[in-house]
Amino acid sequence: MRRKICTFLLACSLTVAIAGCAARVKTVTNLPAGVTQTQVQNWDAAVADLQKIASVTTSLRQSVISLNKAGVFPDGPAYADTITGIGKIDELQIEASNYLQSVPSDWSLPTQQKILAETQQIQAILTDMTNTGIVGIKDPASQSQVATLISNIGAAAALIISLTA
Amino acid sequence: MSTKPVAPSPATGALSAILAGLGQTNMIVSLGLQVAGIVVPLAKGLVSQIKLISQGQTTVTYQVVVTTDENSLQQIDAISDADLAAINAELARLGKPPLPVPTSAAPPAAGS
Repeated sequence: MRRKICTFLLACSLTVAIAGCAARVKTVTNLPAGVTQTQVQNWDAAVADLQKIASVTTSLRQSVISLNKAGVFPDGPAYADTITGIGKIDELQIEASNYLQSVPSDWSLPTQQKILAETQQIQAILTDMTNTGIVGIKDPASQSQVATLISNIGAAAALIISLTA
Repeated sequence: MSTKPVAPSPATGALSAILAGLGQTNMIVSLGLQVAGIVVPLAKGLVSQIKLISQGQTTVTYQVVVTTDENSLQQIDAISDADLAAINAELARLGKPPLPVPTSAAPPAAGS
């Protein structure tokens, strides 16, 4: 059982590692008046990076619950804090997604500030999760691989932050 | 030494044929992606747009970007909702209060 979970975690890590999220389009044609190429590219890149965060977060959630069911990450404050942290990241993902849907291709300062604030909250949760949450995972190899997933979410968050002024 | 032509895999060839056929008819279709046990819309719109994206073109129209990204954002919502449901089930098992599921964000104020 533990070997299966480790294999799953490794597969998640590799999948994330090879999934780069740079700007997906180089040239956008038929731009509406007042919308710049850079605005659309940055908005598109932010959506891609947010999607990467959501994808890895769901892998993280599945991994953590699987480890709990296998007895490697037992019930207790560390487990409760970890799944609560993941849930709060999910809430922030929904808020950021809803906001971006409400302002298509608008990467103006208010949009940047809103997405920046939510991304910084995600990073703070990741730090707490690393310091006080996943330390409850008894198997060092599993703990290391969960830490890699957390690190990958942090890397995608940093990409979004790099898009802001 | 002879060289053999490399044929596309049956799956890739079939998908290309379907997309090409639908593209000619300009039909509207929807594709689904199963994520965390639920099917979420992957793309919905003109097949010609889907073809552009599936072919990895780096020059696309503004409308293609908006349509593609709106679908991506809907996928994010669906994945996050599924995660929250699973996490709230675990929190309930632990005797903890559930996390609230956010509703749609209000659009920014005019002129902001």
